[in-house]
Amino acid sequence: MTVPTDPTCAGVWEFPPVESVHLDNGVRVVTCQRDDQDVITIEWLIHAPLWSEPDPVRGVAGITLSAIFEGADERSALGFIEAIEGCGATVSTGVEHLGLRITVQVPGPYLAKVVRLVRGALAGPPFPPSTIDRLVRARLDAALRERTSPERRMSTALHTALFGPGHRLSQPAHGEPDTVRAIDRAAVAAFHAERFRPGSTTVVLVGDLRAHDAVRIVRRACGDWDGPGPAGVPELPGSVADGPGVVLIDRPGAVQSRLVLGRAAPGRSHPGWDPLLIGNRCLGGSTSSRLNRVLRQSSGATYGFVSTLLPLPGRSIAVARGAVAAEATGPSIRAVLDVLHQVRRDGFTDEEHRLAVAQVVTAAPLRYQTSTAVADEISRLLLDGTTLDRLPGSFAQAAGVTAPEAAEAVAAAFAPERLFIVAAGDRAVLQDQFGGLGPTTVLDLRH
Amino acid sequence: MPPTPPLRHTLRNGLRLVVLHDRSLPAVAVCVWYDAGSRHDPSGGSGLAHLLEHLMFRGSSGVAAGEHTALIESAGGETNASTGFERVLFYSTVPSRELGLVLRLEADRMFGLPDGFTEGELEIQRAVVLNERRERYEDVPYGTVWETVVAATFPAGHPCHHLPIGTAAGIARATLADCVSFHRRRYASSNAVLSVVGDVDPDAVVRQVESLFGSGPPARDPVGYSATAAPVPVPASTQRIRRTQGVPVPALSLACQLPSARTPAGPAADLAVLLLGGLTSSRLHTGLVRRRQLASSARFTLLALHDFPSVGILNVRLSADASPADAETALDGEIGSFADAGPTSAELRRGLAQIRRRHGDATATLAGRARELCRYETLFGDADMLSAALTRSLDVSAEDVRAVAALYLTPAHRVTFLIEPEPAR
Repeated sequence: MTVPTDPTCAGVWEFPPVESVHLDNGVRVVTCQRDDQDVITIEWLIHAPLWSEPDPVRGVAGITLSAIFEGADERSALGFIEAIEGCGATVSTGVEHLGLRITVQVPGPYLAKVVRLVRGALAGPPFPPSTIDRLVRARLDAALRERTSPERRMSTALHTALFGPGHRLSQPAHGEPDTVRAIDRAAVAAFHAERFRPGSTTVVLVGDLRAHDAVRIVRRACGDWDGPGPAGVPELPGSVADGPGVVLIDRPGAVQSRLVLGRAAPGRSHPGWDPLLIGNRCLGGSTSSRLNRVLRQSSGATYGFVSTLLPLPGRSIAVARGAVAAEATGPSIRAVLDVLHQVRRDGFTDEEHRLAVAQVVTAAPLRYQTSTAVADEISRLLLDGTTLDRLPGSFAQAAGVTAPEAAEAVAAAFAPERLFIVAAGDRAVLQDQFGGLGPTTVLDLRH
Repeated sequence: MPPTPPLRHTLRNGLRLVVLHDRSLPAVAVCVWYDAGSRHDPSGGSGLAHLLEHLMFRGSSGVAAGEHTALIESAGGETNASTGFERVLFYSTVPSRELGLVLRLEADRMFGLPDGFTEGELEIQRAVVLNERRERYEDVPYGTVWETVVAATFPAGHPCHHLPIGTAAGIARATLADCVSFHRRRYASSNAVLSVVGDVDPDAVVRQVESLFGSGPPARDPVGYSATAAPVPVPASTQRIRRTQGVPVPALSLACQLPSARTPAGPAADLAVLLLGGLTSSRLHTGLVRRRQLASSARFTLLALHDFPSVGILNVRLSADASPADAETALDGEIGSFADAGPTSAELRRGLAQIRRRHGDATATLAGRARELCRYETLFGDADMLSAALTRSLDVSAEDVRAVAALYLTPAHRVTFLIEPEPAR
């Protein structure tokens, strides 16, 4: 079979132009015109990282974000969602450690109506205490369910290893039950007044904006939003710890073990980011990447083993993860570590490098086919504090990374002797498989 | 301006080709849809159709194991596959200049796949699929709901009784001979539709496809399932299922057969499910979550089938202090009043607006358009019907929706499945 064209020679795609303006009241409007995309995606970003919540009411950001759509009473809450869905639009909210998101998809002809509705909600309803109580109860129910989700517990365990217990990143985005119980109307109103301000809000608009006069619509809807200047965004507190360390989350009877291996790594603004981006693709970013070839294609030990870079302000967390049969847990962890040692020793092959560059650079236009995908990428950059200037040229820079540079970046970021290893599985089956991995902390998933 | 119709062409060996010129990106999507879904599995939950999907990536006459995906990824493209009850489909999107690569790969596996079958590859893919089954169903809280209610909705012996992934025991029993036999029966040109959507010259694509696929043999097994079975009541013995599992709060699920997507009542069934439980403003969310606070979520979804009744499945996650009996009574009340009076005109408008956007979502990418063209060519007999599909979906009255609810959302048509937490030890 013929080898495909070398992607680095084929001309590098540029991210579509992104424009940014500030309205007089401080609202930032970021736009990206996509011809013929009649469904417009709007991301409303509230720059309120979760470490800006008062400690005793951690989780208040999430409750506030839900409460703004609840109106003054049940009738107005239902009226809001009926009006949104009646336009054929969808609205969803995201509570992330980096900030809050309201994502709206709306057919162009209904843009003005939906923007007005969301803008009205942002100004804040009276927050009736009964509504806040209901949202708190619903959140406590959800927390009960999330406690049994291995993925969520593993994420918490990894962040605890990196940032220490009690750090905001080491707790669920929606808060722990103890602090959620303490949230009342006053806490919500105070958080809303402090953080939901025009100067702390960015509106990202992607789609056929010209056809629907989108910028004028947003200017008109947001221009009269009065409020004090932007709230200061505190620095991410604390320092980050390095491994090694092993955490076992006991799930008696589990037929499978879920694994996460991770460590702090450079962020998107770091000069070493592009090599890490390409190196991560070689390691575990594609179906044909090294981890999948070793753990899936050669042995069937997993349905998939991937590596990824989770963004944080100023840094990222380099993570490899997958699920394996309970009895194959120890050998699979060792196989991942062996892959990392091998990358450090022998680097990546030219074929792996070519595939990774093709996936990051040549495949870029395929990843950004929809307005939702483009808006999501822009929003992620804005939330982790990356400037948008690099965006157009970012693929050309990534295309210039060499195989040795990529391997060196992976060897440093995923240093095997420094990784935290978190496994969620049946302790009775696993405990004899962890020999030589280091001292192990055991947590019980049921508590 | 009406959309340009796709070019349709049938090769002498029965392979149907659909090409749509679309210049939105310098890229092209290719979808190959085989009538080789799990309905053709031998009985017993072997998961053979799905296992074959995995083996399709593990080598053929001219392609080494693992090379198929690596070649497409190295070309800056993406590829994947999916197995359902009624079909298995393979889709790839690549820069337009790489269309030849994808077509050569697809032709090679359509006609030369068993050359790559080995006992070793079968064992590896069996292990991968068993891991997939654990990851998606067995090792997930509430992960067995879907499998349980589908098995109760379609009784033993029905082609859709087992999920496409099969049972662990069935997967363990599959042999290489079974795989070769399944491939021989189903992976033939006259059981397939190939669609190509993108920045390409349709006439040139026809020539390319004729040259790469034209000499392959026709199917050996005629296509079955021409008639659509109407929804039937659920046997009394499986109407109520109750289990305890290691979950934190009870969950109540309900499943029912609904008119197939191919029948005139199909769009009304779709809308009934959406208005009862597919939206945040839907009746079940409003009644059970918002008003009575008996549940934290209530979501009704539709698995649209074409040669069988579709399946509606409602999942309700109860609030920690709610009683399942109260939740079920409330559920009955909401469904009953919907079935009595039908949707209001405002509800109907809202549902139709959502269906319009959902249609746009399904065709928002090149691969989505390629998949939908295959679907209409295969299951409706004409890819060009895709352009009229939205009109058909929107031509539904409140009475149509009410009638579907009144006929098929009755207790006799339902499977009710309650999962309760294990008692504290």
